[in-house]
Amino acid sequence: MLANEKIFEAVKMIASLLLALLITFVVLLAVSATPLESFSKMLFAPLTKVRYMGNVIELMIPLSFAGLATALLFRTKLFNLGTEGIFYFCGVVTAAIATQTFSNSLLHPIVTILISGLVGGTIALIPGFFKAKYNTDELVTSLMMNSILFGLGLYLIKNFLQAKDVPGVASQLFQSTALLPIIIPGTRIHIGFAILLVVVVLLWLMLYKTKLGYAIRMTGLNKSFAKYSGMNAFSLFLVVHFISGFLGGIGSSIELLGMYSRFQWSALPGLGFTGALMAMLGKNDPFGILAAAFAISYLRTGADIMARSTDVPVEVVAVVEAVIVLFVSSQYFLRKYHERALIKKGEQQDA
Amino acid sequence: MLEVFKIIFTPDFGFTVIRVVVPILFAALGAYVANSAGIANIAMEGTMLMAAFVGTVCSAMFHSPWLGLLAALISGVLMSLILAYFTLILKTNNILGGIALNLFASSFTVFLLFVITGSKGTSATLGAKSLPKVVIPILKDIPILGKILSGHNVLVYIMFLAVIVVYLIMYQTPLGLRIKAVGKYQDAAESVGVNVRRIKTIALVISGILAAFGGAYMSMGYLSFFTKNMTAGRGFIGLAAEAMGHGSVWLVTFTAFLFGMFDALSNALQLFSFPSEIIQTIPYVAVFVGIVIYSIFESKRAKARGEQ
Repeated sequence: MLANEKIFEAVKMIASLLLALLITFVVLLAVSATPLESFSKMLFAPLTKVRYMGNVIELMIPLSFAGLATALLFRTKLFNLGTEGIFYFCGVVTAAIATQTFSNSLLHPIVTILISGLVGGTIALIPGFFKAKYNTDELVTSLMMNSILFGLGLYLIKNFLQAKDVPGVASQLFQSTALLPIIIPGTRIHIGFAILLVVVVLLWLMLYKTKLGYAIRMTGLNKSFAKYSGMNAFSLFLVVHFISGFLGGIGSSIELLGMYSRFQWSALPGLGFTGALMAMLGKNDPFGILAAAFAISYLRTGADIMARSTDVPVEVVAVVEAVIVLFVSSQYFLRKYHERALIKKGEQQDA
Repeated sequence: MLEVFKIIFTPDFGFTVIRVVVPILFAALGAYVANSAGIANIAMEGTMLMAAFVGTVCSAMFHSPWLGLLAALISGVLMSLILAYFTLILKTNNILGGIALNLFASSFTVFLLFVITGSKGTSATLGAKSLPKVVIPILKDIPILGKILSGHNVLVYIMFLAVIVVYLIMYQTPLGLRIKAVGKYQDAAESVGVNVRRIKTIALVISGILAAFGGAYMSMGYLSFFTKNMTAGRGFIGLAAEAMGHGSVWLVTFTAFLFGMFDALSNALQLFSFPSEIIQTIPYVAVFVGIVIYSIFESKRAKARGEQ
């Protein structure tokens, strides 16, 4: 059974998850006065109320967008972590447009999200250009850009969009015309979820049914391939960076217009970095990322509910997340069982 | 503008440059050793953060900054061994593994901070001990130079020592030769009986120890407590300094100091009425511009050699 590649991958995924939960339980034993209660809250609490399941889906939206943005880069073997800074800066852009009066409540969010996406794409072109033209290390440039975009965004918010009557970093309230409508009553799941599903399908089609997608996938397997696919590496890197930045930009905008009433990020929100985890867990596949984002959102929501009623802080999910990601992305984890099964199958066929 | 220059050309500014370069240079040296063995140690940032946390907490727990430092170094070794286990044995891509470890360190330190102190921001309430400052006799009385070089935290002098030690290890010992051999021609090294995996693990451990020194400095020298994400990208600035150092310890050190200067400049400019949010981005802009210029030169050189 383990000889089948897909089944083996699934088994590996489940084994990683179980291992991660086991380690988390050990950590809980060490820090919690009621480890069993904390553990079962974290695992099962989201199932107990519709509102909690709503929270899972709500959180899944930005995590998926960040994951999709990062995965496209990772897939092309571009280790760019710039989605974090793009999320922040495009949030500022969103605030700038969403606070303006606009008569049409259909166009207002659409315009806001699109401009935010275009700004995100344009920003992503900067490290993309230097990578494509001079092979500049995109990991370093994108990380530096995160800090730069944060400083710039914070400056803009404080000096041009700050609400005078609210302490701390806060833009004025978004206009009600800009906010995204809720689609499932009893939760706060907004239309961004539908947009996400559409984007996932479009990305899948792009990856597996177009020439661009073919070039992306092949470049991921072999760097020099881009050259021979009829698309030069220069334009491929630029296109991939732009789409990634665009996804980050609309993800940030959708998150703010769907879940917030004003911009209040006084630090980098961490969503972009989580995107790297989603990409790794989801194996850089659009539907895989959707599943990964659901799983991580589920765990985070569970941990959040647990943190409210026990002595364990929500950050404990970092343990689960890191362990799963490390094992899932390791090629040799459990592989000897896979190989053994392959050999056995081969012998049976011979006999 | 004149005011700004007045601030830069003072012994105090020189003192500040040294003060801020410590974590950057330790990270750069660590990245240098790992890179020499052919591994990009992206986990530098997380290793530093973890060491910063472990150092200050253990110094409070054992009432000794030295035991705190020791604990920090052990945490550095552990982080490196985890990275080594996943990248060398389970064959996780080392960049992805590093990214995962950084994210882990960033939340896990906050987790432990809350469990231990009940705060998610700083460990200031622990009343941890800092490592001592060292006043160097004779040197301290030399004008200007004394003011710049004397009276620093003890880790500053360990840092200068570390530059020399790393140089000696890499160029004067069999271990250094093996590390470089593994980094350059892994198969050739293996064919003459070098245990590649072991050499890479050793290189990663050295790199983790160096990062841990830098992290310990953050919470037991630069500040006297831990704050959330206090390394603030310094591990990555170190990686950038290493990348631009072109495989030479001295150039790596020079680049780290260059970035340290911009860091100090950003500190100094905050005394003026410039918007602080923008001023704080100066070190990152400097690294960005630096690495772009470097890569332009590199790609031109590669083209000239006909490698493109």
